[in-house]
Amino acid sequence: MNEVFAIMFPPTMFLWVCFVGQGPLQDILAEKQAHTLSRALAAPVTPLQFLFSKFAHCLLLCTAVQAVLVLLTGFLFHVRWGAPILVTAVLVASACSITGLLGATYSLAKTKEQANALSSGVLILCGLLGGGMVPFESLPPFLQAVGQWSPNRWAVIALRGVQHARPFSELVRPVGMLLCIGLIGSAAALAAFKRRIVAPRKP
Amino acid sequence: MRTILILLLKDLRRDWKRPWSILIFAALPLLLSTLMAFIFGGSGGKTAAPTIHIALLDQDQDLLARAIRSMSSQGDAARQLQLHLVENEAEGLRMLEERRASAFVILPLHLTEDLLNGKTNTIGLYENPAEQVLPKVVRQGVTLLAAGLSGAADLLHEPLSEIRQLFKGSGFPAEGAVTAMASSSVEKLRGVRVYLFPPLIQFKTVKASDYRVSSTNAPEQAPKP
Repeated sequence: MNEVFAIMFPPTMFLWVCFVGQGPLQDILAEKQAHTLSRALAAPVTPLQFLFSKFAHCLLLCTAVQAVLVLLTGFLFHVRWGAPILVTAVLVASACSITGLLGATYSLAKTKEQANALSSGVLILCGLLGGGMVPFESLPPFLQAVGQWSPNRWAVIALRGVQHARPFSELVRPVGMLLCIGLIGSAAALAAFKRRIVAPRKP
Repeated sequence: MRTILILLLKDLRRDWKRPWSILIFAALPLLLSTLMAFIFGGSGGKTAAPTIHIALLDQDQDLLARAIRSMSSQGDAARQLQLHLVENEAEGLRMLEERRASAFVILPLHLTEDLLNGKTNTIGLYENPAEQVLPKVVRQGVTLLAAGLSGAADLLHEPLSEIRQLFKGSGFPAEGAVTAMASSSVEKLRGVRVYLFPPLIQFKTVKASDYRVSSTNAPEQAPKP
């Protein structure tokens, strides 16, 4: 049973941790809708500082939840996750990609409700194409090609690479892809949020 | 930076006071993976393999066909393989149509004789189109069987012919004939001892968590993402 658990858990964990990461980004839109954002920005806080804090919150929360789950499964199900330093690096990179993905998704929405609907669709689609719901290998070739761009896929490859004690050189690509998705997504989201939501309207 | 940290701590304190949504989302992968592991992994630590039902028409009724039939009642095969002997092709096909078998195998007429005479013969196979995996398992098995029979016929041609003659004879086999046949078989097998005893290539199952990279599973041979 443990072997099946070890195979099933990484993609499932990534998918559901994405939902955990929604909270901090929902706050941005919720504060805007509730008109509390202008109050927060009236304090000596710049829009970028406010946005950075929310993105850092998402990153920290996702890393912490994944770390707790990894420790719990190691303790309860005797899953061997591999070298702790490498596991930590992969978890941080995964959390970074979740932040980028969610940030980019939330920056497209105008309201919290819109964002929730949009992000659920995006997360489920990424989970499906990235091997979170069905084995990636069973997808037809054209869907596999699309799935290569899903952070879920790279997170699972990286985590399994650490589990199977793959050489460090093999982990560079998936971890690099996760960081790229995270950094590009976050940068785009920060710019979009700053322009559309946080920046004061011109009279 | 300090401002960002203050804002972050404020948010984290709020999470600490109201952690329920986080806990629920965090518990879901544990719950779902555990359920999946119970469903697909069994509770006893071993995966429960399904029994494969095969309809078999033995037109050969000779030495090798009898040996193949008896294989299904030995070892692990006895638990995971269920042979249903049928009288004719129509009966075998009906079993497939009624989904009572995953595949229908026909051991053709003169299979043993042709193998021993070095003639090509064909094992018939019908796969149940309503099933996905088990017919493919049978196809792999039949392919292996065909390759194994060809190899065995090449290697043990003489002793097999003698055994066949002994079985065909009406009386009790002579002691000398049995001894000579055993001696001939041992002599043949001695030639391939280094490949078969123990087998040169062995199949070994390891836990996924115990899998380690070695010289025989080099990383560059692994499937690329």
